[in-house]
Amino acid sequence: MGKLKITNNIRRLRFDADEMTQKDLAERVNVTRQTIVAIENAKYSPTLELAILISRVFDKPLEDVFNIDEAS
Amino acid sequence: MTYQDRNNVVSILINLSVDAYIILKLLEMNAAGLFDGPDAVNVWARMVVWVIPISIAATIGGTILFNIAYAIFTGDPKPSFKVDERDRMFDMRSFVAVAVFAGGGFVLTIIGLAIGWSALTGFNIIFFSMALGSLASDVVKFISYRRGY
Repeated sequence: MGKLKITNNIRRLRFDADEMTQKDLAERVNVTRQTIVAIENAKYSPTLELAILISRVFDKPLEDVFNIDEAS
Repeated sequence: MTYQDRNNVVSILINLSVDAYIILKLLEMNAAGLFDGPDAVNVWARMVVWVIPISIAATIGGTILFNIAYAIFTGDPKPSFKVDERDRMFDMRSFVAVAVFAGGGFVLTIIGLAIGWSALTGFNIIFFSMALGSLASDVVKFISYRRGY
């Protein structure tokens, strides 16, 4: 089995949430904007705590925000 | 350039400057024959012991001055000092570089002493392997922040 990649829908969810900026999201979950950028680009997988905080911001279940790309 | 990027650049520059100074000073002292006597290790230690506080002070002072200068020149009124889980991950990654170099230097020293190298050579290897580890740690952090993960 290859390395699993964590993907996410944060960009779309931000857009749906009144075009929330990366900076706004970062402030709401208490991380830097660079961390949100890295997560959005699937370059960095957040801890479970941060993933839950992000999904709470969008009022969505975790699996609606984050997925595992099993094809990669 | 983020706050962390700036700190990494300052730390790399200060590390390089301090290391260069020590190398030049040790070469100068060696040329003057100060390490020829039986108290060579003591002479070496008396020179190197000053480097530790000077290096710490230079890093703190340099970082503060650089950040003040950066804020003045770029007009950045409110730099962010926030540290999050990604920063901590980069810290841990950079610590591995320190451990690899310092550990490698220690093992090399033990082997060197076992085959007859002088104690002074051993101390130099330990000291410079730590210095290299510190430099490598800053480089690892710099690369991590630049690529974002």
